[in-house]
Amino acid sequence: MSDFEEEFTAEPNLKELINSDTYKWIFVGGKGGVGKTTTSSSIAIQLALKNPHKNYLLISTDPAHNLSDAFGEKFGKDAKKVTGLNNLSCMEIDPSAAMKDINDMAVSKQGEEGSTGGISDLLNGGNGGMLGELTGSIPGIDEALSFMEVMKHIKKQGEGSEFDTIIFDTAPTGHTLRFLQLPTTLSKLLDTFGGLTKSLGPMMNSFGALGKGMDLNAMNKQMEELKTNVEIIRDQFTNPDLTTFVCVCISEFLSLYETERLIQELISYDMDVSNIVINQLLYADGDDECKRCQARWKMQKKYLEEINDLYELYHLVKMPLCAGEVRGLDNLKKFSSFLYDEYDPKTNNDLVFSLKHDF
Amino acid sequence: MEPNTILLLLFTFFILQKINNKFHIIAFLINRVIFSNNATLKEILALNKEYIDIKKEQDSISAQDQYGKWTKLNRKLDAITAKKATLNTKLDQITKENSAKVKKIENFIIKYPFIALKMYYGKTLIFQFEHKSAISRVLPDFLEQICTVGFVGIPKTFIKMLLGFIRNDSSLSEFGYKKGNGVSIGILFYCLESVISEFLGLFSNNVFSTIEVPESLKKGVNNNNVHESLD
Repeated sequence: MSDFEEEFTAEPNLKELINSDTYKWIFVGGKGGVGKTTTSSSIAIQLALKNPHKNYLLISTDPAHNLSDAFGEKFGKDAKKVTGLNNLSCMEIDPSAAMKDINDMAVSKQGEEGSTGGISDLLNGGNGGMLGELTGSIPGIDEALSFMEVMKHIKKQGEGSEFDTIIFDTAPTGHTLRFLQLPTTLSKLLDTFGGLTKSLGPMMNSFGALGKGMDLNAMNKQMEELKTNVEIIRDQFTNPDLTTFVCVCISEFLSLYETERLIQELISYDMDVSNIVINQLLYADGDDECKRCQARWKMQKKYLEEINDLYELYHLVKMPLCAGEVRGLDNLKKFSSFLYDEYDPKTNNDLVFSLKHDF
Repeated sequence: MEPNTILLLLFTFFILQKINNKFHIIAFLINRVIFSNNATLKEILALNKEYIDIKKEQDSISAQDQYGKWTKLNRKLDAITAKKATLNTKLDQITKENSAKVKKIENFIIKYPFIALKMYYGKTLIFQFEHKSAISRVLPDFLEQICTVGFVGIPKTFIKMLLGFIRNDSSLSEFGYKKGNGVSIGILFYCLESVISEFLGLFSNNVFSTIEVPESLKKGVNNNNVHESLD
């Protein structure tokens, strides 16, 4: 072990993350079914509770949203404050609703300018528009819309955003990695597009009919603006003071395997990963009568040892499996407190059976 | 130099050139002597060996039973792969530069001496006809004279004639070449070269020709090779 490693032992909690003043983006991700939504909601609640002077936004980018279920109240595509927590808002990105908005905007703009006929009418007009139908089913549209949301907040940052930190409850690993690759991919794409418009621009300008309703200069300006924003996002995402990724897993082979893959990918994107939350631990030692629990706990312990060995410089937060679902603000508050002060199965065992089940 | 010696020398160069074009012998020798000591190549070879050893070790354990050890080995493999990718890019650059150098060396060893030899001794007669009449009046006199002078001699002769005209020197202003009475090495070798090249082409295309593996099978073949090399 190096001197640095001997001196540095990461605390098994998220105190450093929760008390930090610098983070603007916190991503929470992992394999499906490991408790990403519970963990992201818990982190958001702890941030809101420990920093009452700040405003937080929790966004779900998972196409199968669970935020409304986790908090026990309905959230939509617009940020809505959590009942009982004034400085925390939630929103669920809905691709079909967002596409409908974009379509409506296009239709109303067309109405103002008058119908031009032809393909654009066919795509935008009618009941919902073919464009809406088509784009709704494009692979990766969820990631693209989540990215648009990030862009909106990046724009607002300059004007003074109402949120200090945005927490992302992400979709399972594959989606999330695609989403995080978007700034780099878009940046390359915009560079190529810039080159193309430079060389083809004069030719396109000379085609009067093609240029109808298409101002190349305005389009170039928009592209430049988009490129600047994408670069800001890329810089912010790779700045460890502004962005961090919290990995969520359970103490089982497949989950750990995917977590390792996720961490290695994130490192290759230059993203900061220093926290891992291990959920659903049974802590079924000697006095527990359930034999199945004891057997599973034995397996979990084996993988916990491996986790401790593999990620010794990470904050490894171990969370218990509760008897009931962790839903509703009160339950989440109770559960999330152990992200701040580590859970001790001997003294905090009452948490497992003390959650309310009035949903 | 005796005409037969020149012919033998030309043949040697010709065969050498053909063999080298097919089997890249000079490139191989140069690479063997100079390139095999290249630090990047040595490093890649060492990394390949290390990769195979680690992969063998990783394959010998169960990921589920020894997850920690398996993952650490996996990280090592990833690190080696990344390092190899960087070194391969560097090696590609070196190979490109090296190929240009090899090409130059090949030109100096074979191509240029061959051309120089052909040009210098091209007009040396290798066969002579006993009776001039055997070849005379096949072509008009002027053309037969040109054939004797050869393609290289034509501009030289016309420059000489022009100089003679300017200087009013009658000895220079005449064409001044007598018709040859034999076959020169240049023309013989030109004919032989064409025939031999044709034969070599036929031989090479039939003996060394390979049937392309279908694209659909290529992936499978590569994977099998990888597995075989790792086993």
